[in-house]
Amino acid sequence: MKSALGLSIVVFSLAAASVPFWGSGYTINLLTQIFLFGFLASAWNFMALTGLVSLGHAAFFGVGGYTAAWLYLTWGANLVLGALVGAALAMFLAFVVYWTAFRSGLRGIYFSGLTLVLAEALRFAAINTPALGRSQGLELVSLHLPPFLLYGLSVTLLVLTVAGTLWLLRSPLGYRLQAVRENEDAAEALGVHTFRVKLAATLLSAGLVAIGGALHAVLLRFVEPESDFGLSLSLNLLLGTFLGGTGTALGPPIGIAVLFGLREGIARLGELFALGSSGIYALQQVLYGAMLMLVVVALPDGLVTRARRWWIEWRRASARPGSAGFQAGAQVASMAGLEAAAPGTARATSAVPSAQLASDSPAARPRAGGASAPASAYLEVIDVSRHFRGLAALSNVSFDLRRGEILGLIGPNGAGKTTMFNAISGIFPAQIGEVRFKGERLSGLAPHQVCQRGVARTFQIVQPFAGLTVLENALIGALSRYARIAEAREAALAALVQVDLHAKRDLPAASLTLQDRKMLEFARSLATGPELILLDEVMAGLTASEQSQIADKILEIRDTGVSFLLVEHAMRAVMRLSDRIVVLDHGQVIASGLPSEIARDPGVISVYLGRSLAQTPVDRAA
Amino acid sequence: MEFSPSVIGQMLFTGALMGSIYGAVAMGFSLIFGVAKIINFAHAGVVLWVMYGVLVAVRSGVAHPYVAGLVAIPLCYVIGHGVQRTLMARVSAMSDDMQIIYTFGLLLVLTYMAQFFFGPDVHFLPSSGLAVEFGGVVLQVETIIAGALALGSALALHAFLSRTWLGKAIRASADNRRGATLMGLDVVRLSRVAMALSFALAALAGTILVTVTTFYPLRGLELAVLAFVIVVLGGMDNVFASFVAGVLIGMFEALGTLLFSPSIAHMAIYAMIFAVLLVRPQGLFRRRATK
Amino acid sequence: MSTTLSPILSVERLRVKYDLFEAVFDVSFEVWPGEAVCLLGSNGAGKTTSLRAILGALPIAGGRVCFLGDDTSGKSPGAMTMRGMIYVPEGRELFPSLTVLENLELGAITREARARTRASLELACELFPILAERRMQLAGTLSGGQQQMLAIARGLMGLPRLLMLDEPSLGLAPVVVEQVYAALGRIVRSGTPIILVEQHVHQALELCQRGYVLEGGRTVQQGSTAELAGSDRLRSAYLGVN
Repeated sequence: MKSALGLSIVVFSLAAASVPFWGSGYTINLLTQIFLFGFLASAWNFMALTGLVSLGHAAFFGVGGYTAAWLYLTWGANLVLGALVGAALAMFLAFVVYWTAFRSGLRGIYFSGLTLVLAEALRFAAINTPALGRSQGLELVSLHLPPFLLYGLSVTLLVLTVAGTLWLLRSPLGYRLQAVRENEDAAEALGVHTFRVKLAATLLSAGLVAIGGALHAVLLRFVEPESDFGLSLSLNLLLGTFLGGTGTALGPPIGIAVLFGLREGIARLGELFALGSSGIYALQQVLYGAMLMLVVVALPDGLVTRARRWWIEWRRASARPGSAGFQAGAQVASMAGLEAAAPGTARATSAVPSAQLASDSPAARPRAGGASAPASAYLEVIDVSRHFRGLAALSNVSFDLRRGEILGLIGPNGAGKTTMFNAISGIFPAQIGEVRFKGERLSGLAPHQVCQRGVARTFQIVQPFAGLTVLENALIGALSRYARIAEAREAALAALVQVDLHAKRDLPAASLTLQDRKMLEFARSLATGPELILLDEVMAGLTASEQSQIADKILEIRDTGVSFLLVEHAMRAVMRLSDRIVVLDHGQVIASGLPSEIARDPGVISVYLGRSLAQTPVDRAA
Repeated sequence: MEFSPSVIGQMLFTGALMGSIYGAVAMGFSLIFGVAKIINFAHAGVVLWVMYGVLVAVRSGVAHPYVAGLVAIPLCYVIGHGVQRTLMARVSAMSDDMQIIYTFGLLLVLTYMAQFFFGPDVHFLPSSGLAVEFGGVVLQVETIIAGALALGSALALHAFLSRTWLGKAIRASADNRRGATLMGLDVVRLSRVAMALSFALAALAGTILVTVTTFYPLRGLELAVLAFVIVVLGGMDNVFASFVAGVLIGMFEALGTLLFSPSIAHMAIYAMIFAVLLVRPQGLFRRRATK
Repeated sequence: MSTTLSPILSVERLRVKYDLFEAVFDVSFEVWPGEAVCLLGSNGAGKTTSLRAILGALPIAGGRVCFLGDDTSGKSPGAMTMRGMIYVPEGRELFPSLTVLENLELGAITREARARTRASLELACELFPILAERRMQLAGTLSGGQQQMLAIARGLMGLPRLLMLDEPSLGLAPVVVEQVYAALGRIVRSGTPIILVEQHVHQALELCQRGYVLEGGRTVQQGSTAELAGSDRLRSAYLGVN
């Protein structure tokens, strides 16, 4: 698969290189535009990889074009230099804007709206600046370039970005980008510094688009507010990328090629019916609009993704007689670094992870910290209080969890269990009091930092990265402690073996059953190499037998040296699993002790069943 | 140029009246965002088509603009109902991004269909030439009528939403869609009513816009962005605040135009909204959303 | 009167699938005229899911639900509410930016109820005097207990033929729970049939005449509340010990 892509890139480059020998001026010009816009869409795609949709990339495009043109006209500056300065300016602008936007947590319409307004503000700024030629723009009349230079440049840039995207998709940063796209909260909980990752993608995207803007300025020999900062440029990039497939390497250029093809087709038709340039342009835009709507309704993943799915299905259908189980078998064998962890049964391989996880000395782990802390002070929750709009969700909650322990945290609905969880994992820090892990303060850390200190969590409502495979899901967890993909993959596979998902490693996470998704959440958190796992209602929605399978798994993993904090409503499971139990009610600890003590505690029974029932003797049951 | 009080007053009044038309456009956008959770950029496309419709009716001597408007409003109400049943039926379930792309697509279709049929030229209707003067401020009769109609529609909509059971139900489903469903309100039907009302407002706005300004196909795109900007300023789903924000933007635009130039005024508006989005995404008039 | 001979609501072997998992496997119960019935069980037992499926807000995967003698399959929450099945949801689900009065008015959802808005309002305000005091206040600014009272009052405005109450004591302080249950007692005595889903077993058992215990999406026990109060099955359903 990989080599096939590489080969096709080489073939494409050779074919593109041959065009100047036979193509007409018209062909060359059209191809230059297609390649240039393909490059731009690929650059736009870097941002889309994180799931962010920008309606205002024209802002960066225009900054690049205007900077190059202005520098050339006023200082006679080299165009390459101009493009690079433009890229630097665009990246600076992107940094300022997106840093603030991500800090204030803008999402959805607010984020897209912000990008849209940015481009519009710049458009009017250009119209109002005499040095930039107001609404006339700037003309690069005296420019003389060797023939085919622009063509060559666009081909080169396109090939480089596509190859770069391919490389990125398989790099640690690329996996993190995809994790952010699929589910930002889960990514953060798995140790991904989502803020930095999003900023990296947007800066890269802005810089490249600015270079494209400079090239476009040179190609057309002018810059002008409407064409450089206008909405239609942004929409073009968006449509091309969505049509081809966001998040894929080949999608954006393919989408752009299809668009340009349709555009030319309409132009020919229009000439045939003598529509005039305004009419033709209008029809092209109508077609763009209709395509936008159509893509959303019928083809949200884009052409490339759709084609790939057909391809896989076709192969599965033709390979069915052999192995009915998992279509991915053939691909799996080709994956590097797998052989080490591949042996057949889970039983045989479970030695791999336990060896890693059970390594008792914390100093031996990649992330050392608090190695000298006494065993009693493992997770300490000290006088934690948290208020929401004047209501006390937690008041003076204190408890501790000992190393290797399974501690159950129970209480009726609304007792503050989830708030407690969020206080530990860094989503809502405690307002008063603190949480310490191995002597180190967790309070005030972001979720990804908490994860990197060895405290992983799962979510009550499972949040798999649905578009990624099972293995990639676990891989993202493993990347929190391994910088290299090969190492991370091994750790991820080990974690999958531990929860018996190894055989399903190449299935898309979206295809898993609920139980398997829960197991996948588990595997992802195991892959981060945790010392403590916070399990949020892992039993919810499962049948009794599935619950007991998960319980067995928890005990098995505990034996490798991992501690657990369970928030759970499934009381049978809690009673069976927990070494000790802490009971919360109205944000306060009302009891703690062994499960058998808790089950008899009149205070606990009255919370659950009411006072009158608490008074009837429990022992009657025995 | 002299900035006498009467010149400034003139600009502020004209701005407020223009702004109230923007407000009328924005109210429809805001209403449908609140109730049906649809970010409908195509709203401005409807306004545009009503403008061309009225133009054709007047040019062909069929009707006076206001009469044409009287026909357009109920017609658009019905069309809006149908659109929510068909084109928009699945939109509210989409993610924000997909909605934006979808409705932008529809906006492009509407805008450039207009360009295809009517050409890219600028159109306007001749004014009656009647004007009213008080305290040195001269206002065209059409402008006054337009402002009055826009204000009237805002007050009527406000009254409908706060006084009638149906209006309250519409607000309720904007406020808590799931809660509304669970207590038995027919949220789908309410969304259709809201879309129909939003179309009717677009018809009204289109009619009065024709009587006071010039227009051309790309006006659709401009109005879409402008309506979005106003609605952000007002706090997205707050219908009446959108109207007020529209008036403010209109005055801001007029003042900026007087002091500098129209395009500087627009730049300032976008810069201001940019800052609003970064600092107070919940809008100017609301306390931080509690969630 | 024929209604005295048949149950208001009968649920037979209800099955509900929820996203990926089946939350309810086999739930059966009945409510007879004038009766208050509670569904008990720990969180995740399938109580709320059952109620929402009966209301038509979740698709039913199997079994039969009859309300006032008619099969309800495929009906929307709107249609069920129109027939007099009123649901007071878990978490209250008020309209926070509407006033207390507007919230109440919207509760009068049928034509008949709307015609009697004034009388219903008087009744609601008599039951919860605090609501009369706060009627022009935004619902979102009420305290948790007041919000719960508003939610119940909003339900009463619809002139329920069956009132389904989902966790009315959720997150409330004990004193407030007492107040809410005092009002519920009056509603029951007025003859309105009630289904109550409640984690606070004690209050539920005191209020209702009969109850059903749910565990893991199944009805595992039923009986009079007096019988249930002494039941070990109930205790184990909540505390997970045998």
